[in-house]
Amino acid sequence: MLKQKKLISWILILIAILVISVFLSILIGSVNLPVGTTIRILLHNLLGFDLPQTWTTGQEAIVMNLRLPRIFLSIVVGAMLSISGVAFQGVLRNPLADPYILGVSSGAALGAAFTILFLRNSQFVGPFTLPLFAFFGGLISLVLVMLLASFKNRRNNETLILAGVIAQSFTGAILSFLIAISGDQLKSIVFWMMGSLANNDWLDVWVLIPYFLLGMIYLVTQYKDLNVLALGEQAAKHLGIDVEKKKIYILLVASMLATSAVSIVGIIGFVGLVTPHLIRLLTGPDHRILIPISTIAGAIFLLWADTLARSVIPSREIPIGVITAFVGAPFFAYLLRRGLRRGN
Amino acid sequence: MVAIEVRQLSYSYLDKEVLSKVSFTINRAESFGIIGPNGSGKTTLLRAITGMFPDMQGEVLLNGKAIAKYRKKELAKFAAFVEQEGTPPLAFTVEEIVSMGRYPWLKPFAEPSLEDYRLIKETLINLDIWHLREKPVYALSGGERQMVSLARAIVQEPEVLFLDEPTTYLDIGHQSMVMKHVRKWQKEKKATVIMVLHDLNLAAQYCDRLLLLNKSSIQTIGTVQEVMKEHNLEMVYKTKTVMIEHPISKTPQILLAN
Repeated sequence: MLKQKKLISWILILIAILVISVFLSILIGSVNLPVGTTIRILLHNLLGFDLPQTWTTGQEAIVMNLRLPRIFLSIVVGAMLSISGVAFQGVLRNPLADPYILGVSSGAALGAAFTILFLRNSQFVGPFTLPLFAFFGGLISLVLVMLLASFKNRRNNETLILAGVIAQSFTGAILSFLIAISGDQLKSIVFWMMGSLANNDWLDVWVLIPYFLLGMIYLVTQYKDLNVLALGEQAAKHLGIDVEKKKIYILLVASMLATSAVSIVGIIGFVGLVTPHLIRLLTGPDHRILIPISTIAGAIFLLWADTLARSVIPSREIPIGVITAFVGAPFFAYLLRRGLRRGN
Repeated sequence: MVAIEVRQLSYSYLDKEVLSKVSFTINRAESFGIIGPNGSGKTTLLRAITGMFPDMQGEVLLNGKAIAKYRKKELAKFAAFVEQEGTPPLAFTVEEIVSMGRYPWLKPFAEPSLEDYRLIKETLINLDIWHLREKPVYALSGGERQMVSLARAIVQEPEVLFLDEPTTYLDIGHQSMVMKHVRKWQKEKKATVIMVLHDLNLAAQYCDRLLLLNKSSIQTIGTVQEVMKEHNLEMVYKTKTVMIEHPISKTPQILLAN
C-alpha cells in the first residue's frame, strides 16, 4: 500500500516537472517568443480553443512545427533509452549495462553509413530509408550477439556482454573502413553517429510511439520478475521463473526500444546508462517504481539535453551526445566514488 | 512415504562424468544429508535433483511425478532452495527479499496479500530477524544474509527444502543458528529437508539419514549411525579418524586421528 502511494506521488511530481520543462523549452531558442503568445498558440492548436489570431504564422510555425515536434521526439527517445537501460541493468545485473551493450548501436550505425554511402539516391521508403536500414543493422547485430553467446540454449551474462564487445569492435572496424573511403559523405556519417534531434518532424515522433508504447507496457509488467532476477539466476529459477526465456524476451524488447530510437535520432549515449542509476539512488531497487520513474526521468533528461544542444550557442547546434556525456560522465564519476566509499 | 526417488541418475559436464548411475530414495518428513569429499559430486547431485540439468540421464521423481514434467512455478511451490552464499548484497530490504518467496504463489500482477504478509512476519520473528526487516541486505553480515535466504525459502512454503552447504561461510554461532532453525521448521511442518553439508559433525547432528558420495557414486547410504563409521569415512576421505559419541545428542561425532 505504502509502495503504491510512493509510486503515485513520484509519478505526479515527475510529470509536473516534465510539463513545466516542455513549456520552458518551447520558450527557449534563437527566436524569442513572448510567454503570452506562446500560451495562446498552444491553447489554440493543442486544446482547440477558438482564439483570435494575435500571433504571426511564423511564430506559430516555430512552436508547432519546429520546437514542439523536437521536444516530443526528445521525450519519447529519452524515455525509450532510459527504460531500455533499466531493463538491461536489471537482467544482466551489471551496473555498466546500457541499451547499446549488445551491439545494437554499432550495428545501426553500420546500416546508416551503408545507406548514406550507397543508397543516397534511393528513396524506396522515402525519408525512412536510412532509419529502416539502421534498424535492420541493429537487429542483425543483436541476433548475431545472441547466437554467439548461446551455449546449450543458455546465455551467460558475462558471455553476452563479451559477445556485445566483439560485435561492436567488428562492426566498428567495418564502419571505420566505410568512413575512410567515404569522401564527401564523411560529415553526414559522423554527424549521424553523434546523434541529433534536429531536422526531425512529427512523423518521426509518430513512428516511434508504437515501439515506445509496446516496449514500455511489456517492461512495466515485468517488474516482479526483474526484482526476483536480482537474487541471481539460480535463485530466480528456484522461485519458478523460466530464466532463459525471460532473459531473451526482456533483452529483445529492450534492444528493440534502443534500435528504433537510434535509427531515428542516431547514437545518443549516457541517457540509458545514467538515468536508471540516478533513479535507483532516489527510489531504491524495486522495479515496480524504478521502471515507470526512470521512463519519465529519461524523458526530462533528454528534453533538457536537447534544449541546451540547440540553445547554448545561438544559431548553432551542439551534438546532443556532447551534452549528455558532459552531464552524465561527472555524475557517473560521483556515483563511482560514492560506491567506493560505501565499499561496494 | 517416499518424497523423492532418484533412478539411475548420470550427469556429465565437459565430457567428465560427475554423477554415475546414482539411485536412492528420500522419505517424506526426514532430514537427509548428502556428504562426501571435494569433487565427489555433492552439489551437482543436489542441483540435479532440483531439475537444474535438463540434459541429465536417468529420472528424478518428486511425489511420484518426474521432475521434468513439472511446470516451473508448480515446482517452486513444491521445493525451495537455499544457496551457499546466502542472499547477494542488494539494496532491497530484508522484508522485500523475503516477500519474494511468495512469487510462485502469486498471480502474474497480484501483490502479496495480508495473509502473505502475516506469514512473512511470522517467519521473520521465528528466525529472529524481524528487527532487520527494514535494513538493506547489503548492510547485513554473511550470517544474517544466510538467515534471509532461509526466511525467503520458508515463506515459499515448500514441502521439500534444499540447502547447498548453508553453513560454509558462517562462524559456529551462525552455523548452529541456521541448522537449529532448519531442524525446528522441518519438524513443525513435517517437511523434507535435503542438504549438502561439508561438516560431518553438523550432518550427524542435524540429519536423520546420510548419503556418502565418493567419486560420482554412492559409497554408503543409511541412518547416521550406519554411515558415520570410521571405515566408511576413511575409505572416502583417505585420512585416519576417530569416532566418539556426542555427550548430549548421542550422535556420532568425528575427530581427526592425527
